[in-house]
Amino acid sequence: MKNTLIKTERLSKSFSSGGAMQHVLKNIDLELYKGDFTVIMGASGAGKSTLLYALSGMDTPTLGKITFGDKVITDLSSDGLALFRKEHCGFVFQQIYLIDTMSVLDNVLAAGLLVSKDKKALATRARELFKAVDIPEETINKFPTQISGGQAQRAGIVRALINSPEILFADEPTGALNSKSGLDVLDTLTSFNEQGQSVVMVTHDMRSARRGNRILYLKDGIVMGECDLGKYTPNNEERHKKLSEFLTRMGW
Amino acid sequence: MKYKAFLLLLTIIFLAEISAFAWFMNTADNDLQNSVEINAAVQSVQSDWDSISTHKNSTSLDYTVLDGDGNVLFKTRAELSESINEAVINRDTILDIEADSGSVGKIIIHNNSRQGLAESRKKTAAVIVFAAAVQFALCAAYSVYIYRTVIKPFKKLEGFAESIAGGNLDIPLTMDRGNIFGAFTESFDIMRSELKKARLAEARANAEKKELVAKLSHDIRTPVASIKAASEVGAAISESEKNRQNFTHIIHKADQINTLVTNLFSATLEELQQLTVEPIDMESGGISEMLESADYFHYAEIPTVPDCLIYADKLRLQQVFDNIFANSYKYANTKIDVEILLKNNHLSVKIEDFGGGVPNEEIPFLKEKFKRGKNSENIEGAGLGLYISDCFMKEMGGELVIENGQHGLAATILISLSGTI
Amino acid sequence: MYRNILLARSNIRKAKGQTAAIIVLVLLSSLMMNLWLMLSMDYRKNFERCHDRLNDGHVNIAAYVTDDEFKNFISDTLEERTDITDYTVSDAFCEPMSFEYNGGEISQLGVLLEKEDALSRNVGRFEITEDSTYKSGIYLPMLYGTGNNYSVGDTVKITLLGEDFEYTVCGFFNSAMNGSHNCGMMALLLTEDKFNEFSEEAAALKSVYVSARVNDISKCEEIATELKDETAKEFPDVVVTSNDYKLVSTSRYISQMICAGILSAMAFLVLLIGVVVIASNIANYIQENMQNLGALKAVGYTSGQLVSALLAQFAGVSAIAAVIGTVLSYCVFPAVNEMMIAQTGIPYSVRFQPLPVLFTIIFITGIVSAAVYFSAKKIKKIEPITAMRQGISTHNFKKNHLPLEKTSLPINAALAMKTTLSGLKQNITVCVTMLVLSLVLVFSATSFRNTIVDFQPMVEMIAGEFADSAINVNPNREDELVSVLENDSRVEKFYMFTNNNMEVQHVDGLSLFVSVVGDCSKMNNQSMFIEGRYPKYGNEFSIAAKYAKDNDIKIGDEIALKVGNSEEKYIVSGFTQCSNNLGKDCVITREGYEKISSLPNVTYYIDFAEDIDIDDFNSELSDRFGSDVNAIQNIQSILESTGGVYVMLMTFLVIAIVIISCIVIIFVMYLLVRTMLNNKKRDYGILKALGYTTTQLVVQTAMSFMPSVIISSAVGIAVSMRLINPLMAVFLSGIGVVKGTFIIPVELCIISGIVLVIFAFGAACLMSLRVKKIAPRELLIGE
Repeated sequence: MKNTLIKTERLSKSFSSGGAMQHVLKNIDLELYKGDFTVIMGASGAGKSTLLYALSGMDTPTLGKITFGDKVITDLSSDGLALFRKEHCGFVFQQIYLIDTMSVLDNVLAAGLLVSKDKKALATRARELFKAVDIPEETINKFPTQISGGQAQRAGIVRALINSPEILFADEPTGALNSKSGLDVLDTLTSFNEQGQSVVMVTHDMRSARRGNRILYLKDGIVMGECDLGKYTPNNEERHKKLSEFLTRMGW
Repeated sequence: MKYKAFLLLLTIIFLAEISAFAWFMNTADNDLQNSVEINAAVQSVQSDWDSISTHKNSTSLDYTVLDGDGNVLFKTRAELSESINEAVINRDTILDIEADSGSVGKIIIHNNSRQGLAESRKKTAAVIVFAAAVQFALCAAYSVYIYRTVIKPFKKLEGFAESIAGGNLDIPLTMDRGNIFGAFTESFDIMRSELKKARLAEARANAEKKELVAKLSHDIRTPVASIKAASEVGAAISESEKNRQNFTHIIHKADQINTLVTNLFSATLEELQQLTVEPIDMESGGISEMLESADYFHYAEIPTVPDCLIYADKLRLQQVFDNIFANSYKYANTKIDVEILLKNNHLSVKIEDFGGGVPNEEIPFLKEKFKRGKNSENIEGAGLGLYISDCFMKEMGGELVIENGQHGLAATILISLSGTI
Repeated sequence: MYRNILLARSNIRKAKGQTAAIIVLVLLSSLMMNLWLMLSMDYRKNFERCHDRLNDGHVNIAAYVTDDEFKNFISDTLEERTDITDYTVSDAFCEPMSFEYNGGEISQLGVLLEKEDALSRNVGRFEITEDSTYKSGIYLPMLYGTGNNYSVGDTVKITLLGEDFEYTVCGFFNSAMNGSHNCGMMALLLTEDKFNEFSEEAAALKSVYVSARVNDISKCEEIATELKDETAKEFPDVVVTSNDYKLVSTSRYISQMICAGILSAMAFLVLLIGVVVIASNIANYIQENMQNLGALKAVGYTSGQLVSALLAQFAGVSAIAAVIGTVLSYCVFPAVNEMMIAQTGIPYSVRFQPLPVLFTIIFITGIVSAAVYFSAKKIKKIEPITAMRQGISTHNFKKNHLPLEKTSLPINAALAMKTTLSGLKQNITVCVTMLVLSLVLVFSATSFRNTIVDFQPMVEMIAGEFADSAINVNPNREDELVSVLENDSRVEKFYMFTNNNMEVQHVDGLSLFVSVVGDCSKMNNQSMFIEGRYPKYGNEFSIAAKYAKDNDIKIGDEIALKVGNSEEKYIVSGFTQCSNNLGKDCVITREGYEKISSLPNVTYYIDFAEDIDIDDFNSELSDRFGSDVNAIQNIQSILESTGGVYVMLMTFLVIAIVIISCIVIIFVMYLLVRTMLNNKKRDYGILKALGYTTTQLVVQTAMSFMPSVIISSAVGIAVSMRLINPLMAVFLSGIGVVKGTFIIPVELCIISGIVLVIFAFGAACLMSLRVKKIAPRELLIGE
């Protein structure tokens, strides 16, 4: 029996543009479990990112309820959500979103110092993480515009993990990267997951999706189906086939 | 740009030096005597003349007082002129001390302008040293600046060229501060990004090729149809059984291909209906408003609607509610119970009156076209309301259930939730 | 042109808030500028108009004692002079007198005239501004009818010759040359019966009052001097007092000058802030729209066209704001006018003046246009290719100013500092604003300390010597007075200080009012000697700094002075400052004065110990010395009454200045914060996503302004405290002030500086509340 981390009940999200309502998420009932590498797939516009941002408390859903652990986050104010995010969530964005005016290390520390006041311990942890994601020491004092996209994204992962969040949300982390850098980033995520880090990742790239052990397929704002792939092992043909079949069935 | 600023700074410093010297030249010989102080000295000596030994100097000057015979009566300090001749040599000021009886003595005011001269020399030296130091600092700063802005970036450019040669196209060339190489650096970096773009374009071309194959497969259907038609003709006119079998075989295979292709691009056409129902996703909150507006007599208490996203046509759903409430008003005219629940994939709205219901045997026919209950004999109506409502609900993927409840007739409208159809 | 307007309109629509803030700054500036111009251009002319209407004299002479012989002599003299065009000689009583005003006392040389006679004078006519049915009583200058002072039907008690006279106030009159206590002499009109009553009582004191018009106004001072000189030669015993056009026209407009000076300074300072704000706005606009501008250039717009679109936008907005500002200034003017009249005592009716309006609008629009032009020049440097490719802003040369790992600041402060260090433009704007505001603040604090809290420093600077009480006795009782004062324990200090309108003539120059002092070291107002030292010896004297400057006299020079026919040379020991006689004063020792003249009477200035009733003491002395007392004054009470008007004026100005400063801070902060939020929207989104709360980000934003706010306020206040006295001297130079001697309230300045910083922080917090609107969801854009 897996431990439920996040539970949603009839989660809906609507946007209005020019008077016309657009319902991006529709009555989603979903449970996410601890330790999982959950992948949310779907065509663009299917509401993947919207779901991710709603789950992570970055955005408030229009209707429905989200329970994180035993806390209902849909009732929180925007400041309450901010506090919730810094305590429990880490984020990796497609556009990376490091702050250009701060060095890479400072970007990480700016997130870390929100939670902990122990600068030394933080810096040590940051260095460990940088090492783990294979970013050399001399790079961490550079500015985001001076390093390559892959490095920046891995720095983004370090930033997301600096506070040891219960869950890491990744929104198309490889979307803006070339394939080699993308692979590095995926390896990083996988290895953190293997160490027990819960990960929720949105992607529309099969190669990325393969890393997850649970694949959710989103279409027109509903979860069309899901697929349990089991633990990731590199070059596992059977897993690959299973995923392809699932996606074909879903109309990928 | 920076060069101009440097020149400007240099000019400013030069002008500052010039004006400092000019000021110096003008102030150098300003050694006029302070006549007020001298007057104070003279006046105080005059008033103390009778007791000159107790006289105290109240001015900032040094002076010697002589009596009419040239004897020193008072000195403010040592090393001052003690006779008229010494005073003349030192360019001291010599004034008379007057009493009622006329001149009684002399006062010699010490001339200290030599001391002033030494001071002004020191000042000159200081000004020159300071100016030189400033100029030195400026030149040193400028050479450091040149190193940082020209020589260092140029070295960086070497490293960049190496990495391009090595095939690493991801590292952008950082612009040098002040953009001293300008177009040179820019075009170098543009070259890098153009190379990168070319690689990307190549990858895209590959993807497009695959897409083309998919498109072609679609186009196969047309020739397959021709093959099938030709084979049918062949089968019809062929004389030998074997030939016909062959043709039939071809026809079967062509059908198979066609089915496969059709499966790929299947499209179902909905039957065209006279009353269009266009359900969309909407928030369940709207339902309570719709019920309020349908229940214009306010016979019912509308409960809160559970939040969810429903799939319905707002206009048609309103018509359904209107119809059910109107029926209740017409036939029962009692208070009405409304109950809203979430059930599986539906939002269920149960509307029950207290009119006692209809005979059980009539229930199945209520939703049929032109059927009316026995109790409706004296009441206007065409018997279409529930039929149309039922159709609407079906179109929306929901259902209308009519049954006898505990107190009267109960209509349950099941509205499907979004994402469940 | 039309295309430019379109561009400008869309820019304005996009930045409504900025436009509004600029409008407010320009509006405030134009309001004050127009007020200043109206006050300085037309207000003074109003005096000329009034003077012309009443055909008033340019030189007025009051001779204390007269007989027909003197009257003939003066008529003949005036008739002979070619530079006198017209004159009128009237019978009058000229005596020092005093009455209550503004809770204190007014003491001035009174000129009592008969009402009908005064109204029908050819030269120096009086006009009645308020009349009544009372047929027997007195008419007062209209100045005393303002505020809570006298009104028709009241009884006024006038002390003359040591006696009290009570009259019913029948009405008020206006006179250009003789209508307030700032004119050197003050007229009072008695109805015929009261005038005759008074003549019977004081027949021996009959005097003449002469008003003469001259053909060259610039010579009026010299003519007055010459006339008195001629009189003194012929009638050495007659005491003659005069005033002239220059003296009166300046001294009646002191408050108007101060007010106009402050308004002009404020107008320019607010305009300066506005210009800096506009410049930083444009720099920001260019940076934000780098790509659009590049694109426009690529399709063939010239830099000139783009710049002129910006010009049209800002100059247009400023012109409109300036017009509204001038209109508003006309709404404020009546209130200002009322306050001014309480000091000038000359009626003024508000009317439209095209010239100041035109100047204000053209000047402000011109300055704004120049600022726009220079800050928009950057557009010329935009290369279409560079701009469209990435915009210059992505060329990142930023240094890591404050590595979070090493800093010991708390995280919010550290992030705020990073923002501060990376935003040069906003720091410049903040610095300029805060420097200006701290100057304004120090000015307010200094004015508050030196006028509102304690009027004395102002008095020291403009009025010269003061004490608690002054008594003037005939020389035969002087020794007795000295011994009385020496033996009275209530008296803390006393010294001889005689200046009853006595004059000495500077040979080759004008006639100077002289103060004869026993021992200058005892004087209360040592700051009156602004350069050199006071005269100590019989052959020394000190002279008004303004007069010395105008006549190129230096300390140490030897100057010849004469009274009547005796002449003596004196060394200038120092410069004094005092605006009572517009800088035509000198101070001399008693020994020095007695070389050329003898004192007709002596005045002693007296300071008392704490809590002594000055009036009681004065009446004791006047009882003891009886008719040998010529005048006895409660100087503190005089200061209170004359100072009241200035205190009111300064209170008003200080309040206005504080309000304007608050408005300026709020709008500047609004602009800066808005710009910052726009520029850093993405960063704020990221920080919010990481879990920073709105409060943290608001405080961060506000804190990022604080280093420049605090530093520039501190520097501004420190510098302003040094600058304020010289600046005051410039403001008041027109009335003979050469060196400011205000006490600078250091604590008050520091406290108000702290308040300024806190207020700026509060304003920044308030303005950055819109951080709340930035949702991390905005990072989704593009999905």
